[in-house]
Amino acid sequence: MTNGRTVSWHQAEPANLVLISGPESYFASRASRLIKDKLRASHEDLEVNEVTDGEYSPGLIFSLASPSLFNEPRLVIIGSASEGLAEDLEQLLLDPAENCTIVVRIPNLVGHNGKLKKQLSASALNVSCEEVKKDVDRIDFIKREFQRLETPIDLPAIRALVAAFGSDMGELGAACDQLSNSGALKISLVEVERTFQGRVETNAFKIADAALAGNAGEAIRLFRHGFATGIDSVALTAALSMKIRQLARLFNDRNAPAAATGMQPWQQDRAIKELAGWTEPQLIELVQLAAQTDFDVKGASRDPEYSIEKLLLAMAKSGQ
Amino acid sequence: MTSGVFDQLLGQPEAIEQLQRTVAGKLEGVHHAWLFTGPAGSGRSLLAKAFAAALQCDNAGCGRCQQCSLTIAGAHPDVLTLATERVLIRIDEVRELVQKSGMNSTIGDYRIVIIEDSDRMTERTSNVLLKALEEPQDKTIWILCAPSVADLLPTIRSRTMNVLLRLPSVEEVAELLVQRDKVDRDLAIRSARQAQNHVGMARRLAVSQDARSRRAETLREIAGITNLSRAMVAAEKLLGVAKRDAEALAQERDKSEKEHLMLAYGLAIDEKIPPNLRPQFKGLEENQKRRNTRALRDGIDRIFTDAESFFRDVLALQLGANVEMTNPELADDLQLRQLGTNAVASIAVLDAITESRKRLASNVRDLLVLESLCTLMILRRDLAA
Ligand SMILES: [Zn+2]
Repeated sequence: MTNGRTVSWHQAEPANLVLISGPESYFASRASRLIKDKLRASHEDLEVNEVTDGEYSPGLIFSLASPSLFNEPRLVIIGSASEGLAEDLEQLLLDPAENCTIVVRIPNLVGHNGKLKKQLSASALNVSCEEVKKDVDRIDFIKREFQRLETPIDLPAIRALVAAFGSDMGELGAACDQLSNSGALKISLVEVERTFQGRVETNAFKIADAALAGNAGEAIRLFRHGFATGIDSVALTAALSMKIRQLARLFNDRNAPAAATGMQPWQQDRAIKELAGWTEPQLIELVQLAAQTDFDVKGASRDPEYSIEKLLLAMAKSGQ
Repeated sequence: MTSGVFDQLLGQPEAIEQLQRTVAGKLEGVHHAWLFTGPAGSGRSLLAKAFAAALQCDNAGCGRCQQCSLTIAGAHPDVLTLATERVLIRIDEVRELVQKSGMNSTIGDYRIVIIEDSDRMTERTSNVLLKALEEPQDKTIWILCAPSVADLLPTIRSRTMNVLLRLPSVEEVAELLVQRDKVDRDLAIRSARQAQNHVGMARRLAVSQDARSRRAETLREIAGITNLSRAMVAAEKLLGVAKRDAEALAQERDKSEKEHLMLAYGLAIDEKIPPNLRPQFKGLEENQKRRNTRALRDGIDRIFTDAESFFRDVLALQLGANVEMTNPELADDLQLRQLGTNAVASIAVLDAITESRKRLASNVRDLLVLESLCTLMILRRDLAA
């Protein structure tokens, strides 16, 4: 029986009800993915329904959990507890749907989330995603990742990784993935340095960051480099508009609670710093330009590359 | 009064009469290609389905036999429908359709091919279709749907029989709601006005409290945009409303189609589906899933319609036009806007809504489209006061 048991995120497994709690959202998403992968390994036709934060309406779970025509296995992932969910789940658990795993993410213990956890943790598999504070736990994480990826790694390499990516578990996880895919049979300090140092990481957010820092030249250079190496312009526009959205969302509302903005606290702090120097009309124009750029990239313009550069320039210029 | 397939359609008496005449005389032959044109909301695709059912039915579209039920459920093996979620229909989709159109029918008298959004074809793709229309096959009938005749190549137009649908007037829509849905007259008139003559939308506003409260929520969000941050929040909220709206509509439609299909196979509504019929139901479910990705876009389009009605009211006030308001219950908000903005700004919003529709059709991210639009709706309360 899984009922009431508490496990760490990497031991997450399918159960009638899984509650994923704790502040480390990267672990939480890994835990859901683990459950999904486990289910999918035995049932190829797994039906997955995700209810994002705030989208739950009372009663919804009954239709999501009810068997489809052929009773295919179902996985329902709910982003956060809200009105009615605890009651609905309680009722559902009286007669659990066959072949159905329900995962609820409980990011904190405030309001509906706290209530749901209190009411249901005794009848659920509890997955805990605690924040990692000690290096020894980061080292454990890296060791486990490389075991899973079936690539040996030595201790100096592990230490180098902790030093470089220790502040963000998501980045650390991505770095482990990248290293194990580097083709090296065994990871030592040399591989870590070669992979992560002095290398231009032209990902979308770097480009956005350079632009918002007012560094137009650097942003354009990174973009052209990225474009030459096959960066996807649709994905880049999405990333740029996400940054713009964050600024616009906070402009008149700098003390907005993270729960309302959907941003991580560090993202919010950073966005508020980046807001320095912007006026509201400038930002409004930027929001409109982002939509126009996506339109251009989706085929309205024959030169979407130019449209993106125009957007980068606007991001870099107005802030100054 | 029969409950025939055409009875489900509101407000197109002329078109329906033309099609019923054709169905009545089908033994003398049916023209092989049809073009149904009319603005969004006139019910082109529904009419195409009804016509197809009536042709297959032995009783001119009784609405009850297996031929009718299967066609209406979108599961008739001899009625092929091409509905695209993309900006353009792909050339190989049309090639495949042309190839399938030539096969013999299985359970119906005709092989019927419906192309929704047939305006979304490049010239090259259109020419593949043209080849098929130039060499009519006995018992194969094409039904093309498009917003207007001008959306198709002249060479295609010249081979089709054209059926023109129109947007009925507010009074006509209201009358239909009173007659068929037994809606209270005041509510019927209000719903027809709010839906800007879109029949299906008017019906939903008239019969569904949920649809009405979603509309009220939409307008509340729009009226409350007082700065950039509020505009961004409103965009997100509006997307949420559109999602819920799309879901509700899709659920209703899915359920009714499934019931039609159960009926077509002589099953009771709550009966378990026997194994030999599962592929048919699976097929229906897949079609529905595909269609439902498109439903969100329609949900957002309804948001645009609601916004349009609001800003038309504002503009009318600003221009001193003596016309009836669509949203009299929002008199205070309309008044604030009238004073706090000017006609040029209202026209800019209305233009932006048109532009937003175009962007949405080109697959621009929905949230971005809404954000950009909402930033034009900012009302500076301090200026208005
Ligand atoms: Zn019939």
